Amino acid sequence: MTTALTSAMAHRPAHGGRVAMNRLGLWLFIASESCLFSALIAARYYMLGLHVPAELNQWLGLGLTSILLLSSLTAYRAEAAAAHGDGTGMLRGLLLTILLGVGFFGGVAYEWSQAYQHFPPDTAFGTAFFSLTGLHAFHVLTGVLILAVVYGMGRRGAFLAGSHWGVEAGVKYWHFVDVAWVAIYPTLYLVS
Amino acid sequence: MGNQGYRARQRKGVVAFVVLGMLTAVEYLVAGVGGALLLALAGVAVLKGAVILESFMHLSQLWGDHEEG
Repeated sequence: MTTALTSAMAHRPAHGGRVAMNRLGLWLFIASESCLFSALIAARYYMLGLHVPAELNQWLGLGLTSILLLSSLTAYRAEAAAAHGDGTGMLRGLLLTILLGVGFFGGVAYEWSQAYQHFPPDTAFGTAFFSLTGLHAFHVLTGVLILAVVYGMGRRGAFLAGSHWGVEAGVKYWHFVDVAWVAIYPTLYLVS
Repeated sequence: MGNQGYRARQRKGVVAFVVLGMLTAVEYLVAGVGGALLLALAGVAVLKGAVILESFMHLSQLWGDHEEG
């Protein structure tokens, strides 16, 4: 991290230096968010060991994981398109990512309606399940909102004249949401 | 970077996605086998995280000299 900071603060053209600093700031933000998820995941193992209720909908868990992985690909393509001045590709990628994010959110809502009957929030597993999926769903929601703002700006041609930092930042945040789920999915659904 | 660079970048994304899909399938199958395979699951999760961090999030940019953005 020290190397990164030194690199970011080195003498550079004004725009490039600003982007490097923005990037470092975003990574620090992501690192701090990771601590929050890590604490909840650790609490889940501390409280329950490797216990997973049989009522969990495994297919839904796998489906949600697939949706989120696919959304990372569409987000990546949107960023690549923005970097190469392909405005249409960027907008298409962003829109697909937003739709997949909304689909994921709907899937979690359905999962909650099922889970509430089998392990309500006042049970040990319910506490872990609703805390982790709730925190993650909140990040999905904010990610969708950020991408929607970026999409709106992109439609007005904001990222084609030069910097596409806005797209990169929104997409990086979205990938973080995916990384968080990569840790949450086995923690809640697969360990036994 | 021209069109070729753009296509290469798009391809890299698809390859990363396929690798992630395969790792997810392995993860699901390992869990289906039963037993407390926590280490195996943790290993797969770390691999998946690493693929996303490097291929999609370009973590190494922090140490490199990339200035796009």
